Amino acid sequence: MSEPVATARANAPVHRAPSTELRTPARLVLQGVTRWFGDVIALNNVDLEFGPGVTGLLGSNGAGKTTMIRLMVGLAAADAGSVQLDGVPVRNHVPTLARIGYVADGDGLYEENTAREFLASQARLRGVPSAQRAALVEEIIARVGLGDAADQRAGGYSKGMRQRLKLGQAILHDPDVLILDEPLTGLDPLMRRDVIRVVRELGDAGATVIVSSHVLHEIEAMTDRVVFMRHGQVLAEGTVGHIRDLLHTEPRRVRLLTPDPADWARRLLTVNGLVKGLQLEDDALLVITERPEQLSALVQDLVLDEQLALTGLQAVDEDLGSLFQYLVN
Amino acid sequence: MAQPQPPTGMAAVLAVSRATSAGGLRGRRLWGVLFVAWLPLLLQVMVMAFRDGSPLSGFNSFVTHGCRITVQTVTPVILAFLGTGAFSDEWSLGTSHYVTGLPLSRTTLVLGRWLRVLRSALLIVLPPLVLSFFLNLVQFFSADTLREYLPALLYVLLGTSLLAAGMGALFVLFGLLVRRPLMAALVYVFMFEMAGGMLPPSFMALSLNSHVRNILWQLTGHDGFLGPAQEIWKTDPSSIAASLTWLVGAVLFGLGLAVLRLRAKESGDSSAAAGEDTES
Repeated sequence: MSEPVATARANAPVHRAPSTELRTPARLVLQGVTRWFGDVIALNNVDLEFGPGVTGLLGSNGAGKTTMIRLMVGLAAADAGSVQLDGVPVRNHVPTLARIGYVADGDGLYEENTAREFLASQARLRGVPSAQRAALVEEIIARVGLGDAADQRAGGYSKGMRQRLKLGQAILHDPDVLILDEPLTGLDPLMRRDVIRVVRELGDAGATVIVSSHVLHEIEAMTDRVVFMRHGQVLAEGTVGHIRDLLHTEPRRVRLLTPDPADWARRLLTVNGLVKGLQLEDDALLVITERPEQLSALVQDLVLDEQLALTGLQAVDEDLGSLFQYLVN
Repeated sequence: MAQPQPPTGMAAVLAVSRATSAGGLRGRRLWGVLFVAWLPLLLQVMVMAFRDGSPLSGFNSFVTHGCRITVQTVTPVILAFLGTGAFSDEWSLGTSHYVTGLPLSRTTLVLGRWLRVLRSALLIVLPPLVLSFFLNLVQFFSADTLREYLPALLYVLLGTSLLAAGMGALFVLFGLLVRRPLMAALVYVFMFEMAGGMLPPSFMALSLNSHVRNILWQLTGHDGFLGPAQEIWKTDPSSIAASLTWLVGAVLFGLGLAVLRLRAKESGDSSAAAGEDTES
């Protein structure tokens, strides 16, 4: 089998560190992608399209996220269907692979190498000219916050430092597509914040960033655009609000923050069919309803006309966790 | 915005050969390999010391103690360590995606890693060999001696390089082919390279060092290079061309299969990764 080879480039422009300037949008498209492992199906006829910005890939362990990511970065082949970046197959296509950055799940690093050595080596392999390599490596080290540890061997790194180095090698070549598999695992809050910042910056700059996680609030911190996966299939995709709207038949939960929840419960129960369930809490009332708009109007009337005490209103179901539970159930 | 363009052709192969990798030659591994490489020379120095500095037997001693041990044992053992680790350590340490995820062809990756193995092996093996040559000839040193024996040294260096090329390719393949590649390589070295004389002559073709020694014997005329097939089984030696063909064939066979195996292993790797990504 012949392998495509990148053409040499004359008058190569100067390479710069990963940019936060806007760039040409990259579209990663999966069409009918299926992947079997023996008699177990890991991905089942998946159709997806990822565009510029950050997209969260959500699913419990075993949902097929890692398999899909390995297909998207060209490390594995689909049994059926195709994975294409801007219309070009990813697998075994050198110029396309050069546009992708990947942070793998797991801890693997070259333990004997320092961060500086590792990044310089990756820069060489990515084709960064030698004259620009050292400066680029310094920029990346600064960007991922490894300045103090740049000359220590990776074998002595903490989990967070390892994640930073992995992120550094993934953004070193300023990829159009950045794919991160569980990038926040094991990070302390400070490091988590830094990684989230870098991811959001790249997304804002127009890179296509895909972040997988089974921890919902991690994704929420980066984006509201999500893909839910389960058993190798896509359950839903879109913004959280969009997906929530699709689930209009599902009852929603609204929490009324009030010093007198029992009074609120009495008044709401007088409206026929509005309330599907109630739960009294300390200084709050949890209302389950299939008609959130009607509930909202009623609450407004009760506050304005009858002076019922209300200190706040929370839409409990608008978070990813609730959506995921609905979808799974 | 300019993204760097991946290197191509020989530049890509050289970049891979110079890049960091799992299981690099550092620390204890480096000292162990250096010890194996320099041991024959150390033994020679000790022999000279015990003989109160009296002369060894010149080129004959170089061939017997320096060269034959290097070609028959030291080089294969060192290559077993270096060659098998070229790829297998990447999988065992979980760093394979830093290699296979690169925008480089599989052929480039295999060639680059093989070149790295070859370069490391030669840097480790050749210096003690050269030193051994001068150590053994130092007491006979003259312009005539140099004129007479220097070509032989060059042949030995060339032969050792050929052996390293062939064996390096085979052991790179081992690293992608079997679960315990180092063990398999050491068994191979013991069976076909070190204890080769005990095998029937038809198996001798599989001993790469016997081909190198055959070439060196025919080029230098020194009986010290005679292989076990000739010494023990009294078979006719192969031609230089035939031995060269075997050595080049080993390189092509090893590297060719390694490229195919690397592609296949990626799928296997995906299966393993997917073990945690599938629900039965």
